[in-house]
Amino acid sequence: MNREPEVTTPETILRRSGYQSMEPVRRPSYWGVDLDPARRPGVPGHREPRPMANTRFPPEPQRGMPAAPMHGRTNKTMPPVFGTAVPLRGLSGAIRKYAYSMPDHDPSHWLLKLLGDRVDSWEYHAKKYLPLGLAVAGLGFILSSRASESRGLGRRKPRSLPVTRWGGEARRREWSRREWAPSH
Amino acid sequence: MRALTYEGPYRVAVRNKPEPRIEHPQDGIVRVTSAAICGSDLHLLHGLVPDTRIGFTFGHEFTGIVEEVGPNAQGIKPGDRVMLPFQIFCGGCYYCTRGLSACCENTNPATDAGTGIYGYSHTMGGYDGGQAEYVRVPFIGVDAEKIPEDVDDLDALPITDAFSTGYQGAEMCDLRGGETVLVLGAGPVGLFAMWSAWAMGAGRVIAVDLENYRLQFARDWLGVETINFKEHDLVTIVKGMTEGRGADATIEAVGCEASGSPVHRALGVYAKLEAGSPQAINFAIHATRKGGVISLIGAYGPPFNGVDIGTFMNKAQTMRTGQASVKRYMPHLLEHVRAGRIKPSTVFTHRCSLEDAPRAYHTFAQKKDGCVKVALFPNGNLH
Repeated sequence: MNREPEVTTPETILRRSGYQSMEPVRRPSYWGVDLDPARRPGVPGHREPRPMANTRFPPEPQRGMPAAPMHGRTNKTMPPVFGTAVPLRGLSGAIRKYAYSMPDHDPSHWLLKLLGDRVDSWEYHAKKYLPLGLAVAGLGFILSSRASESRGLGRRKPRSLPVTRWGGEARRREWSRREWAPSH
Repeated sequence: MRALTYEGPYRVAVRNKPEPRIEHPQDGIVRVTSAAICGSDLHLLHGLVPDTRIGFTFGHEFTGIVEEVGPNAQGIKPGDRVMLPFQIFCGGCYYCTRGLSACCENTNPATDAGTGIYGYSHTMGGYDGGQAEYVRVPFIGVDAEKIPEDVDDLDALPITDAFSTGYQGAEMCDLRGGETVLVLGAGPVGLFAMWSAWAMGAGRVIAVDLENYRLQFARDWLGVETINFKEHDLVTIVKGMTEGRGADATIEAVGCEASGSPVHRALGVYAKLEAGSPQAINFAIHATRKGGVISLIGAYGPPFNGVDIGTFMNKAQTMRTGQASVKRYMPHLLEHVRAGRIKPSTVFTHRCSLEDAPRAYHTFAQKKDGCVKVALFPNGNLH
């Protein structure tokens, strides 16, 4: 029995296809250059163990503080090499540090890391725009109070009382707390 | 030095940063000559990858010149022109000795889910990336691949990630000749997956995207059939093209920002209640035939997604996944480039200086101006 799979031709495709493509299938000149699986670098997937060229193993441990802490699986060991790009800092750093105290198979680890990202962004933008915002708000307050003083609005006079429809001036209600206090 | 830095979701800027230094005896420092913006950088930009910190530098596809090497770095010297696989690996651990450099266990304290990657958040080790003038390269003697003199930087650059990832994506489909291969996503990785599917003997290759200009690019460059899933019901069309069964193999080259489901976009991409939108995986499950293979190379973050696992199980499909173990593909793909079978630099529709990178990110993310892929030149000398 021939176990070789049938190699479909462009004609077969066009004959069998329920959907006719706009143009006949054109195979490029390099078609099938890696048809033989032996030519594919990832086949077989696993090979006899062999160190890569120029390998020095085991690697020397790196000194310094990793930017990404080790995640919290208790039997995880620190790898010899790590990144040092942006250290943990601020509130986002505290959240991330707490996230890393959990193992990476715990969904909370990832959700807390995402929360840390959002807080990092808020912290950054607050730090970036808060001084400018405070300065603008302070300047606005000073200007508006000066403008009020220059127009004589510093001390407000009581407005004239509205005229009632009976022609008289509405009596300003004067009440004391005692009036509203419960009587005993 | 000048470096692209992250400033919160949807914001990047080019700022001054201290130059990297040798921190381990096997480290090296590389002056970056070209760096690409990858589709997966957009997941970082959009705040979808956990522990992406303000001030972090992106960039995991780059080439450069070796400036300095540590005392224990072997087989490499200053002045060598190199390209770097996007992962960082030791070369001697359980996985590295078996060729699986993408699974190295010696470079990432933050998670067991992946090895260290340049410029891909602190979840992937906290290594600054190559969208900068200089970059620290751990295990430079093991990881760096020298670029042959007759290969341009821009032809080598996609091999560091997009081309290798696309090639491994096709390889995981276990093609034996004549199969119908569906490729979801006609971005750079999808394009290289299409090329690789042809090279491995696919009978027909069908590209899927929602941007007509990208489908046109795929049709013109690689001669594939195309479907715009915004204009057609994808699964119905694919089954119609395959005698009602579905594709023999589907390569998912989209990742966690897939369109096609407003619910998943709302939950995953905007509300971040799942790890991005899993819609491309669900399309793959439905558009692949029973017993077919799904090759998942799109990037997804932890912790969970709404994947239609019941249909996947009932259809007796196989899913193969993984980041590309780039190092093992480099010599083979360089051979294809040198033989003239492919010119990888074709995907670079946009080329600009590092200072223009924020604008380039915007153009790439918004899919404006016919953008397929962007190359940056941090040390000038635009090609």
